[in-house]
Amino acid sequence: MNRRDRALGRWLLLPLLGLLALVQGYPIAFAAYISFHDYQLTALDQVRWVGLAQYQGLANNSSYWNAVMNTLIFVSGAVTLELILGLALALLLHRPVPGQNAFRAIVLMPMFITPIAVGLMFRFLLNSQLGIIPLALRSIGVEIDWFGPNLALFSLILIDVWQWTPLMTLFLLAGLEALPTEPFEAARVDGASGFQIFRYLTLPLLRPVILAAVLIRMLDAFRVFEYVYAITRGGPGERTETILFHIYRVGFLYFRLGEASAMAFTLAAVILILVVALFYILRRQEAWA
Amino acid sequence: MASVTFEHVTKKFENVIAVKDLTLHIPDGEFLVLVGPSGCGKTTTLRLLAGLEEVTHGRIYIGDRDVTDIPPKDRNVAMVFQSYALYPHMNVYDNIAFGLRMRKVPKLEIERRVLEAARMLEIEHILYRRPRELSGGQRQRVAVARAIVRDPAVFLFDEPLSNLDAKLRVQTRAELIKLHQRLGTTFVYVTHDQVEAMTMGTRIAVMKDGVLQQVDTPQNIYERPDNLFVAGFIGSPPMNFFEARLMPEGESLWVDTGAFRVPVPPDRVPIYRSYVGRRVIFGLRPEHIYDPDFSPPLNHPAEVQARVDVKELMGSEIHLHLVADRQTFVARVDPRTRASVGKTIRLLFDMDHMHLFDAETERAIR
Repeated sequence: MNRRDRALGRWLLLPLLGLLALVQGYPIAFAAYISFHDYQLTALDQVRWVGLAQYQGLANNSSYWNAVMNTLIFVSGAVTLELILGLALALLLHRPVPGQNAFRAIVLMPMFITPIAVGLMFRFLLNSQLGIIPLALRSIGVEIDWFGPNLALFSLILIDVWQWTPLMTLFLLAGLEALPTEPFEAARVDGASGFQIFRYLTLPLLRPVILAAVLIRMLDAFRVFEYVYAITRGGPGERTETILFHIYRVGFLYFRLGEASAMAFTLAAVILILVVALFYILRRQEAWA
Repeated sequence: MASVTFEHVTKKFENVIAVKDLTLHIPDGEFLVLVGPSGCGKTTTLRLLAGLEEVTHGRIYIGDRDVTDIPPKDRNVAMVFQSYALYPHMNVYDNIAFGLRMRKVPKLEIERRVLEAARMLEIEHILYRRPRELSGGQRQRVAVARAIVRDPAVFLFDEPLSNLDAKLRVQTRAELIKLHQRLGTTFVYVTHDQVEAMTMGTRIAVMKDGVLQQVDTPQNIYERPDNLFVAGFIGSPPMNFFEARLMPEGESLWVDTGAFRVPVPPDRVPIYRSYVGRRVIFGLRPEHIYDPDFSPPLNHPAEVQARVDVKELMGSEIHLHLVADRQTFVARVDPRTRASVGKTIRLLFDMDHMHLFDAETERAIR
């Protein structure tokens, strides 16, 4: 490639760079700009520079920390359960059984439903007056208020688990199928029991895949919004107010866009760290293979 | 240490019969080589013995114990895989120690045995490396160390040398023979390489299409093959075959291939007489065909004329590819031969080493 080609190449990049600047660069820059201002949609004539005040304000903002805590509980609870269930399902589906493709297709089904519909579905299924699940439980003498103050966040976790365990299964199944078969046969001959093989071979060999799957699911779980929006709207009280829903509420219901932007940037920082970790793991995984 | 017995063992995969009615006894301490072309069922046989495949019919015994329905971990066998099958996330030490740890052997005992095995295979200096940092030859040694550290009743080898380069293969071959002598344990060794089979085995079992063809010492397999397949499979270059008929002439008997006629040695005439007039296959190994100028004294030589088609210099010998009428064959002759490509030359067949097979059953006529 000579110098002229390279110059041409740079010119050809320009339209794309322009587009990216327009649809990504500008919004991010503008969000950063308003996060340093007192920027309220209801008082656009009073916009003024406040420096880091919005960020500093978050430190003492109990609603913000409540939302952060709820999100952390949601993410860790959901992803942990999804990992355990997903691994169990992947191990079950990994062995050859008759009709295994049908099995796999059925298991994967929930992840093809749009999350807002899943939220609406469960809102009805778990509703304490009309829901079929509480009704069935009541018939055997169990009374559970799924969206009451104690259980609401846990119920949202269960809904997430229902919808996204299949994705975890899919990742782990692909990981299992990519593992070489010979070391497992060697271990069987070497005297390892089924559990020992799982503990000392399957788990460590699957570790990079597990890490990647967990990170991808975490990234996704941080963005939880639809279930909250469709079912609890953050309630009861602030029991299910997650960070994204809180940002939405402050920004679009209270019109305090400056504060909302500042919160969004704190979320972005967390997500950025996760993404960097993810790429690091994926690269190491390639080096492994 | 233990013997191994297969009793009428059959293995079916879906519609394919991989091993068919195999009956084979391997005495304690023997180095048995299972050899055959790919897909002949030799690896399946080994995996059946390891317990990695379940038999469809028949029984397998290790020593006096019926292991047919016993899982691999309880069979007390150790296996070296073709791909070595090292545990990629463990270092060499942990790879070797794995089997002992799974059996809850005390830690000090494990250390003693791992170091001993490592010393025996000269891999002490790489104990803390991961498999991916090792060369093919080193991995192979680790795989062998992992097997011997367990002190099993039977060692199983599945083409362990096929991933090594030629030089290392020859060296490792010798080391495995020494290892067998030193341990005195039963070895069952699978290979498609007839040179490995000939050099390593106490006995060789030749398989084809899931059927055991012949089990015998390397020498007997070579000198007295039971059938056409064994005769053609063992030996390099392979035995020459000629479609022929047996023709009587007074007291004597002649092999007539259409291209040439050679006399049957008198001591064999009574054995072959019943095949007079029937279709047979005449076999003679390339090393039993001589350039008359460099031939040792032969008891029953037969002269044949043939044209030299290709001449391959191998260093210590020359392979002549010859054409007589429509028959082609190979001779391994003295490197000083004056035969040149395109010329028709005289050759001597050493008829004392002739083989004769029934053309229909392909079995040796004896």
